[in-house]
Amino acid sequence: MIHVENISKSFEGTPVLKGISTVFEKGKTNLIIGQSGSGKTVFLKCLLGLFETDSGRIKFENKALDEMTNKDRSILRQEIGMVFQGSALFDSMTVEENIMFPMQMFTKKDNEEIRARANQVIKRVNLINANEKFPDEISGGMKKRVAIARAIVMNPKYLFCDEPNSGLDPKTAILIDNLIKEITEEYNITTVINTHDMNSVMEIGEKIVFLKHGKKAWEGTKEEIFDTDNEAVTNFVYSSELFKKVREVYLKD
Amino acid sequence: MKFLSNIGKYFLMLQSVFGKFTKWRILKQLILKDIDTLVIGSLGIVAFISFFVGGVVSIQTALNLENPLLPKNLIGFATRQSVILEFAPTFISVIMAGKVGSYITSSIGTMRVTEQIDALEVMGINTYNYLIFPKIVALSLYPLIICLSMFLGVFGGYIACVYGGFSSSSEFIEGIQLDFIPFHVTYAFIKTAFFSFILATIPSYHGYYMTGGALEVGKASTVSFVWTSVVIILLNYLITQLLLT
Repeated sequence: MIHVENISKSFEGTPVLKGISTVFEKGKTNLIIGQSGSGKTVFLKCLLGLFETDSGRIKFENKALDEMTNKDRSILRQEIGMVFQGSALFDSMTVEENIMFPMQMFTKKDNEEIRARANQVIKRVNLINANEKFPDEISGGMKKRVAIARAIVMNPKYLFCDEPNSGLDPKTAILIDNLIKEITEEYNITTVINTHDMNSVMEIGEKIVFLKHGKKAWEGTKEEIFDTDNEAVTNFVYSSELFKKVREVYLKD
Repeated sequence: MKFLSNIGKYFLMLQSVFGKFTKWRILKQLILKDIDTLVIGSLGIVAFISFFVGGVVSIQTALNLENPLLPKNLIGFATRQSVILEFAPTFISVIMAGKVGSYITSSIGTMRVTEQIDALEVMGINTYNYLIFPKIVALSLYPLIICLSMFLGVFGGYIACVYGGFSSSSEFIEGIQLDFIPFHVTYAFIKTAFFSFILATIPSYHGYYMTGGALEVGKASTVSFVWTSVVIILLNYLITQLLLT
């Protein structure tokens, strides 16, 4: 579980995050949604410790990030898996080497054990015949699978995903969303997903935090989105005709 | 102010490079890979340039010796002095700032743009050590390249001079041995050692701290080449002033 308490962040005097507080629950897919430029990525990078917050506190299982020693932070980072928007695969390594990399870095296991574990997660994310391929030889959907496999190979407690299905076709995007949800439940991890894709929200969103201009404008479940009278949320969520129709049908029922 | 801030950031980066070390089995692979790319991969171009520039130095010296009273062995002497003191250590380093420096900046810059550096940081890896330290170690073999450049430069001069009919083989060899001061070679290698560190770290700095997209990677490579060359030339002046005057 991750507790976020009143965090703020600014860049060169321009505030990007303004007093955000929320809780990301264990075993659930927690979604951060909002328009481009609403501060989602900065928020995620603050959670990851890539950006220091100006004020407020982030607690991982009641341990505050700013009070952690370097050793504690190092241990925490090994408990975090991250899926980047562009997958961020190491292009000088094959798919298998990318997935083996965190284990080679942080465990004392020999190469055979590491390879066995890597193949286990490769199977879990349904990557077929891709072990020896390089990232530029596989499709966008496969890259996301590799990124997910690399993120879960160390059995993380926390999984962060930045726009996991951006640039994917709707069918592959749903497959990736479902894979993340299944893994969250199977491994009982705290998953935080940064997205502006409303299909993802409807598909896998268990807890949703809506950001607007760097502030938390709303939070709730995907069911509550249909009933909310928060104008900012409805303007964002029902900006497409499809979702307007979905809402009308839902409210009629 | 930005200039001073960049210098400060550069030294803080160097401090971090020697901070938390990457696991040896990973580091070893990275060092070997960088030796292959940065050192072995540069041998061909250095050999080519050194041989022909040595030849040109020798021909130009010969063409300027119009006075028949001047001994022909001066061609060998001038070629040796030019190649060992300046051409091999300094100008090959400026050429390497273009070849190796641009490669380092663009490879690290691309990793920054594609979030690969963020991915390493999230894993808890000291990215400065992981990315820059292997390059510093690999380029510690750079004096070997300069050694090869010195040999081929003088050899190129010999071939051009003797086969161009400017002097005899024995006169050229006599010139090479004339007033030889071994400290000049030491001085050249001291310079080279400093330049190798500059070649590894300044391009890494420009790649590591770049922001933006693909276009900025190209810009960062250009800026990196300019600054690496400027620092090499200034350091060359400083070291020469300290060691030879």
